[in-house]
Amino acid sequence: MKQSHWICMVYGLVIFYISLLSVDGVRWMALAQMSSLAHISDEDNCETLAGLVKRQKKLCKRHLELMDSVRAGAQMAIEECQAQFKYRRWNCSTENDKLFGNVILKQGTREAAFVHSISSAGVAHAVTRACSSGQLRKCGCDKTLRGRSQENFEWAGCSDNIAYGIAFSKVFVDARERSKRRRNKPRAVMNLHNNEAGRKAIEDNMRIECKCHGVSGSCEMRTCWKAMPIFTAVGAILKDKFDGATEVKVKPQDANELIPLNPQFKPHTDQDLVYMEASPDFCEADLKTGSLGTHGRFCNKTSKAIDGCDLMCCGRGYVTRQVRITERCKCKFHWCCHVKCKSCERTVDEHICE
Amino acid sequence: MAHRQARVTRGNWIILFLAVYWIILLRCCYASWMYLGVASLAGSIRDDTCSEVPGLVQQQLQVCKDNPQSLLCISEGARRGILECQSQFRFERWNCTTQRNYTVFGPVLRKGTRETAFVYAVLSAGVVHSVTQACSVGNLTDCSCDMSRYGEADVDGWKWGGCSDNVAYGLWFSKTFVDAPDAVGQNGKTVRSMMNLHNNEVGRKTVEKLMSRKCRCHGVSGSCAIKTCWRGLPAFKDIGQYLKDGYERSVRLAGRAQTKLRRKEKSKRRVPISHEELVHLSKSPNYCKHNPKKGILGTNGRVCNRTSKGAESCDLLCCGRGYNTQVVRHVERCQCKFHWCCYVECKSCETMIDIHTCK
Repeated sequence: MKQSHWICMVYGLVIFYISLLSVDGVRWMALAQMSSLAHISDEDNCETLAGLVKRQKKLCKRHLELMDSVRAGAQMAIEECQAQFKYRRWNCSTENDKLFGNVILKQGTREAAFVHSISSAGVAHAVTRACSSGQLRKCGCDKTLRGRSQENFEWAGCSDNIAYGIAFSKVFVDARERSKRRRNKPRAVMNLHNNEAGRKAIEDNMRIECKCHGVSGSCEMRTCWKAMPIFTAVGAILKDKFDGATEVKVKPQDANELIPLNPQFKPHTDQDLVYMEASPDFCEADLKTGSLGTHGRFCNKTSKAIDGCDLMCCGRGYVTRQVRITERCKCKFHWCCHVKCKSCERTVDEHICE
Repeated sequence: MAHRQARVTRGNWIILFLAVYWIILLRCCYASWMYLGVASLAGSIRDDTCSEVPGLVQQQLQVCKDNPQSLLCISEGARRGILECQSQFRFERWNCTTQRNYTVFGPVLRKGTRETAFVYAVLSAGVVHSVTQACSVGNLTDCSCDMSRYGEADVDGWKWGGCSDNVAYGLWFSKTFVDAPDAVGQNGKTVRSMMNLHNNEVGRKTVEKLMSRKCRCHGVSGSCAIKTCWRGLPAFKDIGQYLKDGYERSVRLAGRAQTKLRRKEKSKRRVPISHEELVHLSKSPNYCKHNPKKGILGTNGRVCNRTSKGAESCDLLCCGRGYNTQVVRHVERCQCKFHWCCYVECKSCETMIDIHTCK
């Protein structure tokens, strides 16, 4: 009796969270906020996940074992977004649940483009990793790579089955944009493009990893396998695409095609991010644009770039406070076997936007 | 004549008054002799040319009247300074843009920022450079080569000869002309005018410091049996580079000065400010956004480098707004071949280059 009461409470909390995080297009990312206690193991759970559209719920039931990977992918995407945007005015914050996008992602800004691409990449990455690690019944390693390669090494080991991860990400993440209601809407076309660009960032940057098997490590025999780039690298690639994103509009004759707003600019490729609306400056908190403002953010006094106090604080100035930090230092190894360290204190200046 | 005077009605007086007021305003806020650097002095210099130049103060007019030919040198010096400024700052957010009006640099110089400091120094150095060069070439009647050491033999066995550049005259001239607007303040020296004077001096000292010995050999088939040397001016690009380095290290001044400039940084107050340090009074704006009131063009549309890390990188130049990409067709002559006799045949090669411009 007591236990069922407790479970009810957990689910109640999850649903509360999800309803707060109603982000258009990437609503399913609410999964990232689920308590890790709530393992998605039952088909009935799928119905309670409020962030999902009908088709996603169906997919959830059919691929129940993948749902934990989807959640992990969403978490990874949010973490990477926050790491890449740590020193920018918009820092991918999810602190205020309503603002990680709710408004911001409704507008087709560059930031929205990035969130879409990284989330779709996150799912593809997490699902592929789960395949490789053998957690899933439906997929395993990529078995198409066999035999001897042109570079004279043997394909062996477990190549990441990126095709499966990408296919699932395509079906699951794109589901909302492919719904009847949103089909052919400019914003849906934009989201689909950016989702695809995110997946391409993994697919086009697959690496070949090798191991040597000769005597005492010599490379007489080499076996290699294909591996995904680490997710931080994917984040960096997408951040680079964010900087050079193309502003687009829908082609007048074809609602499914996007063309650069300014015909003089280079047309975007499948790998590039596209957006439709200019971003706000994110200086002040504004519910309308989804900006949190930069009051209270840390800044770099010496930098002239966007992380510098001048640009980060939007000219409002900053306060400097001294912080004492304690570090382990002068470590010494004692025989055998322990390391003794002293703790050193030093003061560091912190600059905070007014 | 009488007819014309009759037409000077009340309205005309007001316009005249406004015009005079405007000129006074310009004079107070801008070093408007700099206008000579962008204006074209068409044709020859006449006697009344001096009074036609806008914004010269009394002492500058006097210098001009005493030696009208010097106006060409000043103009050339200012132009050299402006071009060097633009070359040194071509990759920075503020790229030393000039306007084709009396203010030259627009409202940017109104504030005593680092950029203002650099402009004053480089233009003052420009005048020294061009006047000194004019002396050596013989374009000015008041000066010629520096013959003070002519004929002296050095211990190393070479002789001073040729035409040593007469930098002393250039320095003196620059001091009398360039310093004039700030030297004759009616209500005492302000910190700002002291800052300008200091930076003018830094520019001049830089020219003097970078003077170098240049030699030539006269022996059989170029051997150095006989060697004559003279002191020559540095290339102006070197002066610009030196001052640009000084710009990066420029010293912020305390807002109130009694009789001497003081550093803002309290811990270094005791350290005197040398004539190698540029000084500024206020912090520079970031020059990111277009702001016509402040004379800032903004970096929208500026070409940036996607891969570099320096000031020209898209990251720094675009202030985080990102960049657009354009494909530009670049046609070059290539695979050139010499045919007997005598012409060269080339093919034209086409390459497509991505150009990035700030959003």
